[in-house]
Amino acid sequence: MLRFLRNLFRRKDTVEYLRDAWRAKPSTAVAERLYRRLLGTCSPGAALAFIREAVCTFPHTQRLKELQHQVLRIRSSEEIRSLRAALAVSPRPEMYARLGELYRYLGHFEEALEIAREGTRRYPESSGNYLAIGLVHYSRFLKTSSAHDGHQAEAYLRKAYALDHNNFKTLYYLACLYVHVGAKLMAAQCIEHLSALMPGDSRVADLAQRVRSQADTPPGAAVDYFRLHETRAMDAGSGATGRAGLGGRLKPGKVLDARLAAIASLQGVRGVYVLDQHGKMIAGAGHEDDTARVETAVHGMLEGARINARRMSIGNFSRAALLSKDWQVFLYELESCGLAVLGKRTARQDLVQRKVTEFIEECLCEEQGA
Amino acid sequence: MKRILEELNRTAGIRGSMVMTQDGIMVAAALGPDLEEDVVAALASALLTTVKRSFNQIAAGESLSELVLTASDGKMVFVDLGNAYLVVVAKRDLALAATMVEIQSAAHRIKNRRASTVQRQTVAAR
Repeated sequence: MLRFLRNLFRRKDTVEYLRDAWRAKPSTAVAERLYRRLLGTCSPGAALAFIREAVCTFPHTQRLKELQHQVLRIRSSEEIRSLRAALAVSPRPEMYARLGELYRYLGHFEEALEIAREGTRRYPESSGNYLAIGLVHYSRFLKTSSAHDGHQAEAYLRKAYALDHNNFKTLYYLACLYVHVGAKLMAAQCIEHLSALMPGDSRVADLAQRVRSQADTPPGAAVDYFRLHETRAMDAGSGATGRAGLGGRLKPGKVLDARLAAIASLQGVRGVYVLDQHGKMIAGAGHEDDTARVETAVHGMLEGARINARRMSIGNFSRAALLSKDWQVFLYELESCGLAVLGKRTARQDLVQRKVTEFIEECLCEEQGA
Repeated sequence: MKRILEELNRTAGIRGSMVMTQDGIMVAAALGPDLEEDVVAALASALLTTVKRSFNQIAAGESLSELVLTASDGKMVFVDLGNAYLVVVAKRDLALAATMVEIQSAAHRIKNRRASTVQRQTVAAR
């Protein structure tokens, strides 16, 4: 009896049993069990083949897609090992490109760039390595919206395209990049070439549809789309970590003026100013008469800090302290606006910091109370 | 100079440091494996240019002696060395008050070294 039960349960765990169950009645639970069994007993290749079939059956199940990525990562790591070994014996340009592609897939962008750059140094006429570098920057651009990565992605993809006009992948990702940032005219040019290369391709049709749904761009306008995209992303993501959450609802009025005046009354402080995301002054208190000059200067400093913090990959700008022989400026990023405290070197940074924290807390309390 | 930077990098929380001219040319660097020298120099120069231009509008032509930028995932410190800047990239949780002493000390030593090098070159030229 015991043996029968043990056999019964053991059989339920075998690949054959699970395959039969999948054929009889496919479900995500069976798919996951069979995938794990295949991965444990057979090879990643068998697991990958099955999980692809499962994803086709349940295309909207996130869990199955995650499993597919998991096995692809295992396969990629194995392929990296074998490519590294092959590269040491007989290097070829496509090996560098493939390694770059695999590292990119695994999210190891620095390794991907390193190997692809080595490929371009050794084989400057091979387009694959430029494509690999372009795709690393493209992936980073999608993650960080950094204009620097956008420009780099465009430059490298264009270089790859210049070396090989018939590479569908290069042109496709270049089109994706333009579509992503809303560069409609350039995207349309790429899509036209893509349609000639691969008529009737559904991916190209999707891109064309996306371009049609985008707003018209002014003809001939010299617009830095990547910079624009970066600014938009920063505006949209201004509530991210490291920023005080004031909801961008600081309204000018006596209450705000009084709060700023409290900071401005600290020893050595010359002025306190709040600017909205477009650099327009919401309120201010201080001894400076030329508010237009202060507005421009503070906006410039805030913008510089915001953009470069992102470019330097240290996240969202939170605050900054600028010191000269006689002056100091403290900048604070609030959600959708910025606060600047201008002072002489006699102003105490700890007191300013404390007052600004109180200011933020008061505004938050008021907002929650409202 | 690189030795001074490497010593500075041993301070807890510091990811890397470099000395660069105001126009972004790298003089010496000891950056971690995840930081590219040219990229950091170019971006640091871009940041300095933008911020200094605006700062001068308020501080009436005074040169920026120190800049501490805090972001959600890290910090950057710029210290004026005369005709160059010491740039320090640090982790977000760096205790700045304590580390600033180390950074200023490194900046002071770099300045002295640069001054003595210039002096030696002048004597040799004579």
